[in-house]
This record gives sequence, structure tokens and C-alpha cells, in this order.
Amino acid sequence: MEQARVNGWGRTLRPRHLQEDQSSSRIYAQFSGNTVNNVSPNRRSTLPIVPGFVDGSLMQRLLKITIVESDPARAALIEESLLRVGQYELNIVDDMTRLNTAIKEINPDIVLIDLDNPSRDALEELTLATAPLERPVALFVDQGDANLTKLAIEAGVSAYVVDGLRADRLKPILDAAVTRFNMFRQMRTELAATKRALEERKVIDRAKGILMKAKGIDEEAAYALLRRAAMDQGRKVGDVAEALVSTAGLLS
Amino acid sequence: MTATIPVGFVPLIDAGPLIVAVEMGFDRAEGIALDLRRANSWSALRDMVSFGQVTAAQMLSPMPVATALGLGGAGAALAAVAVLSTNGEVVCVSAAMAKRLREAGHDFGFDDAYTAGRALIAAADGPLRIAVPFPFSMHAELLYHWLTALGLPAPSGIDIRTVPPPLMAAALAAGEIDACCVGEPWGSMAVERGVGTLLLPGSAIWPGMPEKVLGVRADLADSNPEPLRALIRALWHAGQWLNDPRSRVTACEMLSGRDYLDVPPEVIDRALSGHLTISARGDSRVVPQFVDFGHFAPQQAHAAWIGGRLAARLGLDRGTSQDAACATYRTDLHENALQSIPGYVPEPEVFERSFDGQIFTPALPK
Repeated sequence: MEQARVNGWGRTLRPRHLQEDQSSSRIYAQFSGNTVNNVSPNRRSTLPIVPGFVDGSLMQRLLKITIVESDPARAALIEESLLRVGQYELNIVDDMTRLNTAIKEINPDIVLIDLDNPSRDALEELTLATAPLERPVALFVDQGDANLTKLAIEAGVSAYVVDGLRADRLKPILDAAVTRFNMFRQMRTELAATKRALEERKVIDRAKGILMKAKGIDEEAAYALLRRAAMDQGRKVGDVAEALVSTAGLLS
Repeated sequence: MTATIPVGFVPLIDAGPLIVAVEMGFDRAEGIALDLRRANSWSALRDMVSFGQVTAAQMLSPMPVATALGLGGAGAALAAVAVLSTNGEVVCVSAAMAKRLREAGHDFGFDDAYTAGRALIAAADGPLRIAVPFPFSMHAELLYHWLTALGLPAPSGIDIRTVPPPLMAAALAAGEIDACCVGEPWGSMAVERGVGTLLLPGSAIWPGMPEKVLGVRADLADSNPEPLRALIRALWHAGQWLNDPRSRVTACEMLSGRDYLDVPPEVIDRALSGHLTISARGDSRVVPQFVDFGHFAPQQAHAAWIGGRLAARLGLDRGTSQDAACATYRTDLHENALQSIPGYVPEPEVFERSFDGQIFTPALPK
């Protein structure tokens, strides 16, 4: 059954042939994303889907991109970014224990995976084509544009690309992924910094409380004392506070 | 002016020299400051070195060789400038396999690669499914050597697949694999979780196998700047310190830190002391040379052996592969860095034989 899904950007996503395997990889087949150069589903279905691996046949059909990501929210954001730059057949693999099996089944042209994902090492197996018809993949580095790969690595995304795929077809995809992953990284850094600041403030408050009670001083004097100890010892106020709190915990 | 050197590592006991260099200040004593960055995968480390996010990184010893042969990765050529650790791997079997081995009368003696290997092959139900952390690793090479030497046909009788170490315990528990070969503390962690039993240490298959190296970009090795030489010296000091039994208690505490391995110090102690707990029932075994941090020089013979093995398995030309492999192991540079240490005497390298009497191929004539 054909199902229409409207995503947050007001575009209709039409899964053309649903080969869903609930247990492992959600396979969203063939989205038509962009409204500008939209291809009608009828016409698209007549396009030859050639299972070959030379770029000539890649020209005839949508590129297949597999996103390896177990967090559904993140996967959806990456999907959205890619659909904004073109039409692709997107698949998401979220079960790392079946990663290689799922990728072999999907047979994608491009695999996008978080640089921090431990399962990246399992993907390295795919760089060795062990059967004659298998398509070896490689971490994308085009000689003319090593900078693009460098930017991707810095953003924390790695792209594995099938042999023979031209760089100009890959560039918009990688650009979109890099932008998205840079946003992820920023969010992650901000979250960590906020958490740390909150944590530190809590500890300093507790340390101040301990000093106020033990020495009968007010809050301002307690903080001044902490700051002074930190300066004398060449440490951070937070570190001194933490030491005080944990020591007080032992003595109480 | 202290040069800060970003260095990548994976949380394993053989990241020890890097962690100790920082914690004990061996880096600052050499006028450099290491900035350690933890990574989750070997491929990430390789790419971080290739594209300059880190200057150097802990690597599986076949990684620079594999890159030179065009296997995996596509970035810059890599060079091994030091051996961080020797052995330290374990073969760990699933609960189902352990039960079959026990029923067949295997005693889990933990010291005899012949009996353990033959028992494992006899207990196999179809091709042996064994997980390794990376396709180009000493774990894979040890397994292929060990099991084919005992008559198991490869690749038909053995299915070696890549599973990230954090997922190995789950794969053992789910029955997806019969065994895994992995660096400590992952084997002991599988025992702790009650899903694995240790069958053999890597040192019982081939003692003296270089397990991890320090990898840098080949162009950096060629220019051989002073900070790189200082890094090599700092790690040599760290390795010497780690090899001293008196350092063990302190070392276990350092490695167990939240920013490093983040596992209890007593689990790390098993590997560093060689007193391993092999089963959830608490059986223990002593391995005199479980892991070593003192065989510091990259050896051409090791590189040639690794190159030859990869070439044979993947259908590449043996001679050119071995030449390319040897070029990645920079023994020259290593000696050059260590000579300035007062009283430094190069350790005579003794090549130990594998369990079946093999010896590393000698360095090829240039």
C-alpha cells in the first residue's frame, strides 16, 4: 500500500516499495523530496533500476544513501538535510548488530556514519570485496577534494562511498551532512558545558554551605575563602569545592 | 615553550604507555605535553591521524601496513614509530562453547595452544564464528595462524568477523559468535558479565607479537621533528615504568580513570599482573608474560610478516607487499630518538617462536 507521509518541512514523502524489516533496519525506500524538480511517481517507477556498479548506471537512478544511526531523532534530521539538497533513496540502519548484513542487503552507493560510532570498524570489512560481484566501498577521499573529507572528519561524519562514484555527485550530499553534523557537535558541546556549569555551581553551593556552618561565616565570606584556597593551591574553585564536599562527606 | 601534541587512544590496557606518560609527567620531562583524545574505533583513529586531528595515535600493529597496501582508509600513508605493547590479547569463548569444551573434557589449562585449539575445532558446529575488533589486527592474524596450523581450512572452516569490543559481550550472549579474540580488559569484562570464559592468552599462540604501535603520518616521520623524538622518548620511559612490577598498583589506578578506561582497577590488575580470572566461577590462571611494554622498537621482520600474511590472504603480490610493509616500520627513526637518553642501551631483539615453531620472516634484503 502506498502511504503518504508529511514531514516537518511540508514535503510529501512517498515510500514507493516498502520492504520493511521491523527487527533491524527501517528501509524507507525512495523518497521524492524536492518540490522544484519533482519527478512524478509514475515516471520514476519506469526508470530502470540497474543493479550494476559503474557510474553509467548510477546516472540512471537515484543514489542510494544509507544512514547508520541508532538515534531516530538524529536520523530524521540527517534525512531532512539530505532531502533538501536532492532526491535520494534513503535507508536507515539502526541495529548495529546486523550492520553489515543490512548494508549488503541494501547495497547502497553511499554510507554515512558518525565518526564516533564504534560500529565504524565493522564497516571496514566492506572495504574488501570478497566476492566478484560485491562492490567495494572506501572512505571518501577524492584526490581533487581531500579538503571535503577533512571537513567531514572534523564535523564527525564519515562517508563510505562505492567505487567509481563521481565526486560532483557526492559533494552536495557530503556538504549537507557536514552542516548537520556540525550542528550536532555544537549542540553536544553546549549541552556538556551547561551540565558541567550546573554541576559545578551545585558543588560550590554545597561547599559554601559547609563552610558557613562550620565557621559561622556568611555566604560571601565562604566564597571568598574558597576562592582564596583555590588561588593558593593553583586549582579551580570548583575543584577545591569538590574536595571539600567529598572530605566533609567522609567525616560526617 | 612546550609543544602540545594531540594523541588518540582507544580505552584498552595497551593505551597504558600513553596514559602513564601524561599521569607520571614523562611527557613534560621531555618538554612536550600530550593531549589525549579517546576514540571509539580504530578507523576513526586512523582517519584522525590521516587528516591531522591528532598527531599520533595508538594503532593495531597491522594498521599502517594495511594502509600502505591500500586496504581500508584512503588518507595519508602511515608509519609505526614505536611498539606500545606486546601480546595482551585473550581468546574468549561463549557460554555454550565453554560447556561443549568442558563436556569434551577440555581442562582450560590456559597455556597450551595445541590442546585448546584442537578442542575448539572439535567442538565447532559448522564454521567457527570468531569476532575480532578490526579486520586488520593481530587478533585476526593470530587466529588464522593458530587454527590453520592445527588443520582447520581457511576460509571455509573459520568465519572471522568484526565486532566492536563494547558489543562483543552482547554478541557472545546472543550466540552470534562462538568466540572472540580481544585485548584486555574486554575479555575479563565478558567474564565479569558471565557471558564468556577465557580459553587462551595470545602469548600462548605467539609470544612477542607486537600488538599495538604508535602511528603517525609518514610525512611527519620523514621530517622527524624534535617533538616527535620527544614523544618517542616519553613513551619509552612510560613503558619501562609500566614493566616494573612495583608500579602496578599505581598504574591500575591511573588506567581505571573515568577519562581513560573507566573500568574497576582490579579488572585492569588481572592483565597487568597476568593473574587472570578465566570463568564466572572464579577459576584463575597465571600467565607469566601476558603483556609487555618493553619491546619498544618496531621490527622490520614483524612488518614483513604482517605484509606477507595480508598479501597471501587477500591475493596481493607478496614481494611488493612486504617491501611496502617494511617501509612503514621506522626502526631507524626510533633508534635516533632514544640515543639521547643517558645510559640508553638498545635491547637485543629476540624473536620468539610461535606455538608450532614458526619464526618471523627475517627482514628482506633491500
